[in-house]
Amino acid sequence: MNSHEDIIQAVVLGDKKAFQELYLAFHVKVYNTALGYVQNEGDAEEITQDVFVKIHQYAANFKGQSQLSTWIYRITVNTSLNFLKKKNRFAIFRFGKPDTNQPDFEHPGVLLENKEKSKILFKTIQSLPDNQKTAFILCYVEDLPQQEVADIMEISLKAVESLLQRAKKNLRKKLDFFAPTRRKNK
Amino acid sequence: MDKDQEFNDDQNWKEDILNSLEGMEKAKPSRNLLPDIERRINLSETKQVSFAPLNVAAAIAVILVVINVLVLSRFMLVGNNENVSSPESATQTFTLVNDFSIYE
Repeated sequence: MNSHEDIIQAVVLGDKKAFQELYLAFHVKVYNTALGYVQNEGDAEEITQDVFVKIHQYAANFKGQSQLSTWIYRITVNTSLNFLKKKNRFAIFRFGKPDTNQPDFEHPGVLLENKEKSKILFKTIQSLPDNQKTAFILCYVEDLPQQEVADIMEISLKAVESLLQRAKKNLRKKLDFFAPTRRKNK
Repeated sequence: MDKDQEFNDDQNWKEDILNSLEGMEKAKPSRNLLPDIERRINLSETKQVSFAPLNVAAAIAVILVVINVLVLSRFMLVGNNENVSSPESATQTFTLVNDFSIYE
């Protein structure tokens, strides 16, 4: 296949090999993005399934106005956010408030010396508003360039910079709670 | 430890936390994920196929109902027109009936 656009055209025509090729090209990106949001490997796999089923279902809707990766990331972000909303809604029905007692998430790819620190970071990421969370995950978990994040979120580059600044400010504020001297003084 | 030192330590610690994802490798999902996805896609395609005759049946039913409504409304319209008969036609009917009243 020449390009991702050719692959998606083949998927539209029902080519199963093209779909497998598309999966191989994007499954790690989709899975890791979802993992950044839900912080649970089983849930991230469920979202990855949903995303690829949607890609197969709506492949004909992709008109090439954006890059294929941008379109797939957009589907992943929306599916992940909807998954979290649904999960919180069900948690409210069951316990009266969203589930905040989720066990600490240990990302399998984090360097050994950063394991404990990243657990705290992932815990605090959960508290960010959706748009700040998306900008932070795409920039720092997925390691995407800010321009691509702007394309995925359909906002300007400046807006992404502003979201990242606010996200970091909020994270620093939340981290006060976990700071070593504060814990010592408790 | 003085306050400034504590503050600086906390700030450094926070920066370490924020930078803790640097050098992170990508996680990989299980190998069964692709077959699972293909199974789901096949299942949804089968569902679509099995629903197709139902859609056709529903469309035919709607067309039949529309035709029936049209025919009925036309029939009622014609019936109304026949009921509103002119005085001339009433006399004609009367005359006609009289012509055949052989027992008078």
